[in-house]
Amino acid sequence: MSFLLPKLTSKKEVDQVIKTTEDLVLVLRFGRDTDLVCMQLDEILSKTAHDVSKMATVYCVDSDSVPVYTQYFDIALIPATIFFFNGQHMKVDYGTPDHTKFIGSFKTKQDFIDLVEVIYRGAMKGKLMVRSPIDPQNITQYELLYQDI
Amino acid sequence: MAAPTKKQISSEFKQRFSYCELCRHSHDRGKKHAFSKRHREKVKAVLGKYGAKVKSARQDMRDPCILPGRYEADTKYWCYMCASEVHKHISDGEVTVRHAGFIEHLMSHEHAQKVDRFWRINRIETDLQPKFLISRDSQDKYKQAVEEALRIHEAKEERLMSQSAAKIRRVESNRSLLLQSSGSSTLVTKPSETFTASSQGVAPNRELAPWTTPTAPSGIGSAGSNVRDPLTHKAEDVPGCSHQSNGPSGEMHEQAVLHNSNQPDPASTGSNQFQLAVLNHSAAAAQQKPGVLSRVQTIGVISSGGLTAVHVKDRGIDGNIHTGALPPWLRDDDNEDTEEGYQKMGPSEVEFRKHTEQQRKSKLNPKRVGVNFDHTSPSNEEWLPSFGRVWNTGRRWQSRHQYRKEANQSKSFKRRRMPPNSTVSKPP
Repeated sequence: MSFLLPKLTSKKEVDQVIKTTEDLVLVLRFGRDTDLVCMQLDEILSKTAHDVSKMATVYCVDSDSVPVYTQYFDIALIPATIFFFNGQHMKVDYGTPDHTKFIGSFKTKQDFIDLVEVIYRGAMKGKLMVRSPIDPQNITQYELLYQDI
Repeated sequence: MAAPTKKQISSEFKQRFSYCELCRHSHDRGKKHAFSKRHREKVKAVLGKYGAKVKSARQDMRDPCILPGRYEADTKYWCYMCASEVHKHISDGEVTVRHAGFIEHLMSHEHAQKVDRFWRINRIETDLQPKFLISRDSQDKYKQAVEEALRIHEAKEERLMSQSAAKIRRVESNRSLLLQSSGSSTLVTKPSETFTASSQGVAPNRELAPWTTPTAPSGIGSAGSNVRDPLTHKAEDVPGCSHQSNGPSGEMHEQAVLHNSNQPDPASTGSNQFQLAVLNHSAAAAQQKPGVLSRVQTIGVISSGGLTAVHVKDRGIDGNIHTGALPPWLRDDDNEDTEEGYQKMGPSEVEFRKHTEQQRKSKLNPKRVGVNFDHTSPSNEEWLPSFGRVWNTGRRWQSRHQYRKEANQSKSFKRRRMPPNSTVSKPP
């Protein structure tokens, strides 16, 4: 389903997208198109992309093609979804150790829509950090390891 | 005893009960009824209303008012005492004497009797009675006053009639003279006394002289330089009154002079414009009176019928509708070369879109995230978004800095590991 979502292949493109999205939540999915969980996530994203189009825009980024960002965003597990608003990174508390990105896929489309809405509302109010409305049972739990070690 | 029969009942009824006209109901109180509260109120109301009518009638008695035509024809008053209707005015079709009918009724003997009766029955104070009656001498006085008033009125009417008749006669004579003059194609002076007599009283000093100069019927196109002079004066907006000074050439001394009253009679304003007189003066123009010059009419104005003539100077466009030239709306604009820059009005599409965006944005929360983020500034390769990293030590805006440091460190670290001269392909 990733072919239904717009793709970004270089750092420049990603930069441009981050800079030009105005007053909309920018959803960047970092991962690989062939990965299973990525494919599941892509399906949910592509099906809901139209519904949340007034609040958000969704893009897919291949993590291998933008090593700078893979390093900058500390992406270790894929898929990783990162949210921006007006060039500002939005942190969300999912109940997991990492607030900067969303790891894994969503259980239902509604989860994703709710998350986008919460982020949008928080951003409109001026909050850089919001709390996710998704039930923690539906979120992939993982362990955060300091990489260098 | 047996129940009384119907006949008996009605007769008894009649004997016991009496009908009060004012209150309009039957009562068995007899004479005491006049003192009841309700009756007294009624009486008071009646006296008040009737009294007002009598008062206004009295005013007219002192000074009879004559009105033309049939004023308030067939209006009647109800006299409570006589229980009958009375005509309010008297008219003979042409004039009406106000309140005359009512006054006459008040003066009558029967009315006086009835008033007396009314006072007695309703037990009203006798002091109030004289107000509703008219004494003998006032009656005589009134009759004389009415006669006098009628006489005066008649005289006034006569006067007005004669005035209007004279006016009409005057207008008629003017008209006939004008027709005569236009018919014979000679412009004849008109004695202006008919106009100025009433307003200014200037004595006429016209000379009758036929104007035989062969000018074209329309003064505009006529040859002769001094006819052009009137053209320059056409711009004046005083219709029918423009001054033409003496032309430069001495040959054709046409001085069109009109003696037109500046304050025309209201009845003859329409015909003013047709009043014209031409004086063919010799070079000695001093014969003209000073007051005349201000009321001079040129030939051009005469031919245009006293209307303001508009003379547009040539715009370089040859031909007109009669010659079949191109109409102005199909021609190229003269202003095209002068208005090169701004032919289109209003904002361009880009500006308009920007404006709508601006409007939309202004409605959003001004405290939202990234309000001041500059979306349009160009970024270089090194730009990184503001991202609070996972393993950073300082604040969010320092994470970029930290990342760059780390990147440099790793680069230098990698460089150190590689031998300087070997050609190894870099890992993807």
